[in-house]
Amino acid sequence: MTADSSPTSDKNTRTAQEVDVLVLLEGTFPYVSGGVSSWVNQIIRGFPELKFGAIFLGSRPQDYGKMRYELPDNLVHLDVAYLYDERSSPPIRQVKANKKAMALMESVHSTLLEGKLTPACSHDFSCLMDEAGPDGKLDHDTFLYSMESWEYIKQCYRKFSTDPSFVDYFWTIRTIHSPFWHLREVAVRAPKARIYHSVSTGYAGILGVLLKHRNKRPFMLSEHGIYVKERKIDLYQAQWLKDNRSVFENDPSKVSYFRQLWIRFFEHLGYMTYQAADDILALYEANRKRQLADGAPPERTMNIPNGIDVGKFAPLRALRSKEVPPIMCLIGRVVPIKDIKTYIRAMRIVVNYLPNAEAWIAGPEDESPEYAQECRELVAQLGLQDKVKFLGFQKLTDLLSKVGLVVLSSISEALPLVILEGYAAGVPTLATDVGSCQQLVYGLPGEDAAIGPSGRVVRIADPQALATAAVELLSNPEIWHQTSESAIKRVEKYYSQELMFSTYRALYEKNFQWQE
Amino acid sequence: MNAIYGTWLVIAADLALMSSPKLLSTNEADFWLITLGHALVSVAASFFAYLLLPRRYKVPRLAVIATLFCFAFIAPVVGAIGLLLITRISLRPLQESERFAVPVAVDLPVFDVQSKDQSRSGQGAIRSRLHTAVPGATRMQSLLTLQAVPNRVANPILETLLSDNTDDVRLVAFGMLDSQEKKISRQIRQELDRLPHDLTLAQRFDCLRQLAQLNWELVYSGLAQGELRKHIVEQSAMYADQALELGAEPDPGLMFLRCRIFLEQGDADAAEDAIHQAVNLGFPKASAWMLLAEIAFRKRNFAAVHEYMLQISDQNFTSRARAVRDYWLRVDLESTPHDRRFLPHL
Repeated sequence: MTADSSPTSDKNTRTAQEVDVLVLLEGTFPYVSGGVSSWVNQIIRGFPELKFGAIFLGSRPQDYGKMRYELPDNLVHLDVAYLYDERSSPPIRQVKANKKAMALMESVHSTLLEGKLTPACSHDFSCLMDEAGPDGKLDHDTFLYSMESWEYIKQCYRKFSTDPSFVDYFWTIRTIHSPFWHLREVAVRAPKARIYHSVSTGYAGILGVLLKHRNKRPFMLSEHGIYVKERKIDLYQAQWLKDNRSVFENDPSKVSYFRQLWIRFFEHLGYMTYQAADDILALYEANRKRQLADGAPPERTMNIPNGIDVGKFAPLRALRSKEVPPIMCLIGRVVPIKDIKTYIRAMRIVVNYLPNAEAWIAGPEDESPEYAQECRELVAQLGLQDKVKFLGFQKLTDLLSKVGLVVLSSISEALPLVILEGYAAGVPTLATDVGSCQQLVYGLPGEDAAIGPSGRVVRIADPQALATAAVELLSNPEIWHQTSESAIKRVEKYYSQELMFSTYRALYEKNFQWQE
Repeated sequence: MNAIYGTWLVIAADLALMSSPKLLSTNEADFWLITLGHALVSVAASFFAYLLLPRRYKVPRLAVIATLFCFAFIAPVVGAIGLLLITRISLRPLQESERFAVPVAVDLPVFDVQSKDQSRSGQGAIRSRLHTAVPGATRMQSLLTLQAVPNRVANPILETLLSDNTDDVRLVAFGMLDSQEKKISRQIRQELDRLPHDLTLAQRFDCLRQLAQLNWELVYSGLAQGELRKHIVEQSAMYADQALELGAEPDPGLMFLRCRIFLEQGDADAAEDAIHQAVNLGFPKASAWMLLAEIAFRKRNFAAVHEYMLQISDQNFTSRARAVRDYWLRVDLESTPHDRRFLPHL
């Protein structure tokens, strides 16, 4: 199963001509920590017999810090590309566009703009991108500087834009389209691979579409969250999007044109990725249904839940004191999506009932320092300085034996690994009703549900409900022990990494065989 | 050449042609000669008549010239004279009634069902359009409409949407609530940062009053629930008391706020004292009646509620407050068209 490779590697830079699996990553491993990154790390390390390559796609270099993970030995290639790096624009020069290429571009556009999405649009788009190289008929210069491109943008503005500002329209179109030329360059320089494996739709997904088209190799997509959905939610709330409608035109119930444009753009990227992918994997059923709703062909979809190394955490159960420690612990990055403020507010209520209780927050604070500061100020505002502790990044094997409850107050999750890690150490969970948390706590109908609840689930942004459930679990040893036992049984039976690896192994082997 | 003279010249030529002896000749060559001559004269007549026509009758050019030619050709001499008459009539200035005629507008598109009920943003309408049975896109649109609705009205709706089954709806609702809360919390932090500094009496009073009001805003706009709400009410009361104890200046507004906080905390007697003090300090009595009525209601003094309602019977209210007043004054038994507009269910 191993391809020939000749890696030249130092600590952070690795290059190889050929890999078995090329993982396509957008804004995750190895530069951003979190659930998806941990999963990527786990998968690469879980298949030491395979040579992996990875392409990291980011926005701009300054948006990322140092690597957050030590690169696994079998990761023999790492390419880092920034799609909005301003230095990469070609110098201005006079260009004349090729008529045939413009006609092809207009034809692909009209399919997308008129909402007539068909499975073929993924192929048409890839054919168009074949011409997007320096020696092609639709290079980056043509898009940026040709009169024909300018005329086409003007024509589309007149035909479609409901926002009065042409200037904003022009720059929005430029910003939306520019990454495609960078993506093509990345696709051209990518090493040969036997499987392309993307962990999201969006730009990483489109890179997978281009690579599959160029090299005729299988393309797998493993989605944790649903990229299109998350982008849409961000865009609905984004403040940077311009809305130039006058006071007479501005109907608050109508989404502004540029917002619509961006939303549609990511919907199209999602649709094309689903059409090109050979295997579309979700973590749980609700996400699989969402993929179907966004255009994924049902016969290619499948659920593979996350799994963890249960054996690594099992010894922690013996280290626990007999008393239930009145300590709640939120394990995760201090970022808005974790809604740590609700956790802090809940603590204000918990201490009214359990004066000895403590709330720990174990996770890095450098991803969103402003939010971390707001959380610290909220702690001071609520007079909880001696009750809420910010621990920074912690090794879970050192932490989990000391806590009574793993809390997750997030507003959005997929299938959180920290819940499973807590389970493996015998710690029940208190989570918000997001992603697969219901399934993880109460089990899927049947044998899983018969195990019993391994914690509690409450609705998002509800400090009262979170506090009530926390007090119930921490102050009643009988309930705590029941939920702890269920947690251990559930994780051992359904969420071990062996189970996850065996499913992925079968899929990789199927795709390798397909080529032989 | 002047076109009128030209036309007369042409008429003269046509007359000469028609009185020519060749007209009576049986020779075929003479017949064609006369016909050709008349045709040429007719062309000239139609050309001059065309020049005389006002601009609004000149289009389409060929058709107009052809029509004029027909007139001149079919009726020799008379036709050409007729042309002159036509141009004269057409050159007459427009009558007064024609110039100032009222334009008849196209009927309004009452048949355009597409435009109906699109911009309704009443609370009930929004709630019904957010129902889970409604298609996702419409629900999202309705959710965005809430941005244009006052926070106090929008927030309870957003609060219920936090447990919605659709992720998009739930998260956008959360985002909207969160951004409001963030804004108020930021202001609270700014005031808290100011507080420990060496402030003058007036500055300290202003800072404490702001803190009391901002904490109250979190409660009033429904951004805090349960015991957390209780905690924030206590914070608001604490800052209000600290400000009042400073005694920097009489502040009827702050005393009114203190009354509302007492009422929220369930202390109706203290609330009554506070509202009377606020009125004594100059708080408008008209604005105090409704609160006095609420205090009386909490104390189960229904006769007093009725008395207070009588005081405000002639004031204008929002639909909800008016419904309360009408109930106590028994005017709800006679519904008016005004009521029907706002409260069709009553």
